[in-house]
Amino acid sequence: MINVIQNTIGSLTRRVSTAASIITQNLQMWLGFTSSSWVGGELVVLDESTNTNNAKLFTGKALSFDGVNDSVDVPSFSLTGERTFAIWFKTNSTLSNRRLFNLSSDSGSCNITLSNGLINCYDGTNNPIASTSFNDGVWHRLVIVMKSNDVKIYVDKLSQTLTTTNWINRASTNKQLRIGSNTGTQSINGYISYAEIYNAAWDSDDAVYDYANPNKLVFDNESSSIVVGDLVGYWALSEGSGSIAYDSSDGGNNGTINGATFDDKQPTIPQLGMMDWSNASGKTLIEAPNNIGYDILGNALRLREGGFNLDGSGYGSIANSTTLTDITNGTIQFWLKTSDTKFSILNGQSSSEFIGKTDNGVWTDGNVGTITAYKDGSTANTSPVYDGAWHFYTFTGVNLSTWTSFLISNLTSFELDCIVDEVLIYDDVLTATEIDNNFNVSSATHS
Amino acid sequence: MQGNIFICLNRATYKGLIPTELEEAYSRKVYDIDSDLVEVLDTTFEDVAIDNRVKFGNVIELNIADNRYYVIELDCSWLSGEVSALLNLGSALNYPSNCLMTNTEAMELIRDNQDDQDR
Repeated sequence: MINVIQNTIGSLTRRVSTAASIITQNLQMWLGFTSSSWVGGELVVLDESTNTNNAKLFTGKALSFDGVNDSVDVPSFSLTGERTFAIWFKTNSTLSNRRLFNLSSDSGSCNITLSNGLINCYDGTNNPIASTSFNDGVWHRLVIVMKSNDVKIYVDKLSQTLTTTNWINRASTNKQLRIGSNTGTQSINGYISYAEIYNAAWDSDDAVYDYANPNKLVFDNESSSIVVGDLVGYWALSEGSGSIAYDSSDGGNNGTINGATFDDKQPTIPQLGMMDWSNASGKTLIEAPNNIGYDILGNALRLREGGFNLDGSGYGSIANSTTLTDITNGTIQFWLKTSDTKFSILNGQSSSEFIGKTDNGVWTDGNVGTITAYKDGSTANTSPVYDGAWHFYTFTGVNLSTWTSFLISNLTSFELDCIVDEVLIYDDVLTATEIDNNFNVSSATHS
Repeated sequence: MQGNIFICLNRATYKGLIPTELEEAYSRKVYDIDSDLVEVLDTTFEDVAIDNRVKFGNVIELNIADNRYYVIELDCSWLSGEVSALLNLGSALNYPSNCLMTNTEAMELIRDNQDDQDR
């Protein structure tokens, strides 16, 4: 956490030597990456300057199903009593009978289906159907709560009206569960991510919390009656590669991915770049089963450490704004922690729109005018350090007047595997004293 | 979807050997402990479908006019003659027997010919 003092008098008073705050005079964008927030239906990191240069996040991963023969198969799954299914999905398909979940039961069934975008459930007898269709090509969070004689459906935290409710919770004992398909055919034509099954019924507050906190699990909410032990299946489907859908619930019900393929750079769904891998609930997200401390791919857990943790496949996007394009002689600062030797920090879409790019150990830029680079305060610097430790970089003389877009590490072939934090953009050149100030203020949280 | 083409095979073709043009990519092979190729086994389309289920997805079985059909997904190239060999399988046959399809066409064929399972 960094304290803030708003300087309001002018550039002379901006020149502080012992300030305990980030300098906010002339500050046009400040991405602190402390948390993600919903703004206008998009998951963003808020701009902490007085502007609204929020960064939309594109670091989610999901499985893509082809509408024909793709599926995730869990061979043996057991479930009795009240239950809750939760999943992120995106489709524009008009196909009927496309399963999100297909759980065989000892008698009857327990299915959750999309038919021309309409969500319905089936227990072998009853078939409650929601009245609103969701085949609009955008991501939705679906929560279905199955209590005795009662089904409730929430989409994006909003309760949906059902045509019938007389539900029977069928017992399943070591039965096949399929995600994204029924019998391995008639798969959904769209995307799925973060499929969860709880052996308990959520209430409406749980659905609201779940949607508002996509990077947390519902039992992280202290006021919820749901506990970690209620989570009996959790397939994040964010592995990014391979044919195994790992179950992070401790249930050991890993699934086999048949045909479905991973897509990265997804917005809206839980953002891996902002994920707190070792959360306070005691259940580390997407940990390797039986190998705590490592993720499901066998890599050491990527801790957020207070920053935006990119793995080379995701990015942030800031909407074009005159508060940025009016900058003709400004300053960019950021913290960076990487061992990657080829990357771009801030770039647009053209070859002349990048600052903080390197593939040969030397900073390069596509900037008109002359840029001066500094590292860890006001020490002049021509190349980044690839030592896996935090370093603070400053670029002065920045001209953004011709930029058409503002992206954090989305330059083709220069996507960054790193943690980036405290991205600051000023519309003026900071002095050495000011550069040192911002470095010193934020050093304590980047050691 | 990891393949680039779907084909609806009649029963005889599905149970029969794959064309020689597909053998390099899809035939079953035996290697010794040094990973040297020992033998190329006779391989049917059914074998290919089973071997590549994780990669391409499930086999879809259809009953159309009392005939059994199998829709499978493959990744095939024009350059090596694989697509031409698949096209030849359907020469002079009526749709959908051994017919190549796009993803959309496969969805339509299945939609029109597979009973909705449960609801």
